[in-house]
Amino acid sequence: MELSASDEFEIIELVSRYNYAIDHRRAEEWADVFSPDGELWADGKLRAGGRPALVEHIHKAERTGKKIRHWPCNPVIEGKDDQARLRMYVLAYDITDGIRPQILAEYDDELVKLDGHWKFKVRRVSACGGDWPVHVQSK
Amino acid sequence: MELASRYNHAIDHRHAEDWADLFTDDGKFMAYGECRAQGRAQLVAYIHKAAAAGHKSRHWTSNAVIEGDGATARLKLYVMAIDISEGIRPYIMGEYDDSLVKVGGGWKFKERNVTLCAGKSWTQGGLTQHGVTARET
Repeated sequence: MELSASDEFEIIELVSRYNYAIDHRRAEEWADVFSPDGELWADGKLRAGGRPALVEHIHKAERTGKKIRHWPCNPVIEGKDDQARLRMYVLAYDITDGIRPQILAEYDDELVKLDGHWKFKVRRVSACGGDWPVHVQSK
Repeated sequence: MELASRYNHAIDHRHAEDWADLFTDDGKFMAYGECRAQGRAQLVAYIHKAAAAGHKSRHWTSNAVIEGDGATARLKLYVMAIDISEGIRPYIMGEYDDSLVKVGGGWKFKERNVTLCAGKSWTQGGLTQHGVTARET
């Protein structure tokens, strides 16, 4: 069955929840947007896989003391039944001291519908311009 | 709105055929009051020209307003284009005012019309290429 408008709305909202959680360093909330075996990949390297590692990823980001805000754009959603692919741009700003573009990147994600709700199964992000935040560089 | 996203993915990655697919067969791309391409062959050639110029950029869009009926629509949208050849540098800000039609169950651009608000387009030398300001070829 093709994805419904409701499915697409929920996936876009999932992206917003991801961004609120990572920007405000709410580790458990951030892990909640992934499936239990969810993975985050950056430039072809696995950065966190499974809930404990995802939670630790946010704790590590918090320890850098940097304030970041994620601005997404250009979502393209394809899929059917309980599987979806999301392609999207993101521009992350470092707002620790002023407003500075940190990195421009693109996502190519796999999502799965579990118990009626969409989750990221694999979130893959690839840099296009700028630099990764410190907590990603150091992995 | 997904049509606008697909437009940005296709133009940024220089996927000429994918980009032309988003327009009607007689689709027109207008920039700053001039027709840059009309019809599939010219639309494809426009992307090939952009690819040959060697720039790297990404299009960011916001503030969509959509009006219309089930067969035709008008889309107004802000756009910012970002030069990512070296760092992250917004180089142009503009606004779209587009005419769309529904073809075979899907929406297509009949006319995409972008006006300049600030900066310079790649054809006006607004983009850098290996650290040098590019010129229109």
